[in-house]
Amino acid sequence: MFIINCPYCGDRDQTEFSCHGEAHIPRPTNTATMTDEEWGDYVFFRSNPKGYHRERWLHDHGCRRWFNALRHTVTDEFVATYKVQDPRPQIPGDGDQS
Amino acid sequence: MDSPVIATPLSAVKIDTDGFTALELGHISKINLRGDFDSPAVVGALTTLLGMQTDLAPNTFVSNGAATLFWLGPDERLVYTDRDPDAIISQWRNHTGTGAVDVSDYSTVLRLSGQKVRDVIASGAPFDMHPDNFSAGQCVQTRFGNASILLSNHADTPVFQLQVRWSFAEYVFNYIERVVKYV
Repeated sequence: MFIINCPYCGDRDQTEFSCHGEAHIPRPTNTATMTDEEWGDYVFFRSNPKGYHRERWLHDHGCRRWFNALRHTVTDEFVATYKVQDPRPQIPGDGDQS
Repeated sequence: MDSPVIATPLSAVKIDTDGFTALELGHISKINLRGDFDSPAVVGALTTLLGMQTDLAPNTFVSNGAATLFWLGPDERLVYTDRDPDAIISQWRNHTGTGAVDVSDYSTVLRLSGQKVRDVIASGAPFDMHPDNFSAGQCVQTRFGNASILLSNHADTPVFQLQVRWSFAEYVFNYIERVVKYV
């Protein structure tokens, strides 16, 4: 069990939340001309890293808001949670803020 | 024609034991308000329609006798009111251009009181029920068993109100009824 900091409500138990996969995947703008392969990449393919991962979370049982979290997929460490419109927090030990 | 019988799954039941009472409150009109609660139009509408201020901290509520305003999210509030909800909703929309929905019948409200209340809730909710963390004037949307609830602390005696979806009301009541024997 761990505590997740909802950017709107504060610290809450993990059982109030659900995770919905990788964050920061923009919807394509050229949908009319995309190939099947490009659609497949957009819809199905994710980075699935072993390490720090930016992902979308939903506070289901609380304020029902979406937010993003930077989490380590091995240690389950939550480095930061941040609102969707906020700047992305830096990955620990990584100078590049991508 | 006979008047319709107004009954709910909980209207005939209550819990009244040593240190704990639970009963369902009667019908309360509820309105869900959306909007930018910093904008002048919304601030004006809340003041005019409900006599309320909008600078509500997260997880708190205010009451002025005629109405109670709960924080549900950064752009969402819930109102309990004695007045005709339709009038408030149409005026809200005219004033602010943002959403207002009558949610009176989405959920029901249980009144919980007595010394055991915090322990009873803590048995099913992951939220810290210690008085330092949940005092009068605070409300919290959390989980009780498998049900989403809106819990508000009206007095540190304590007196709580638990709002839950109709479909989960019986489940929550039965859960409480069992737990109260053990706390």
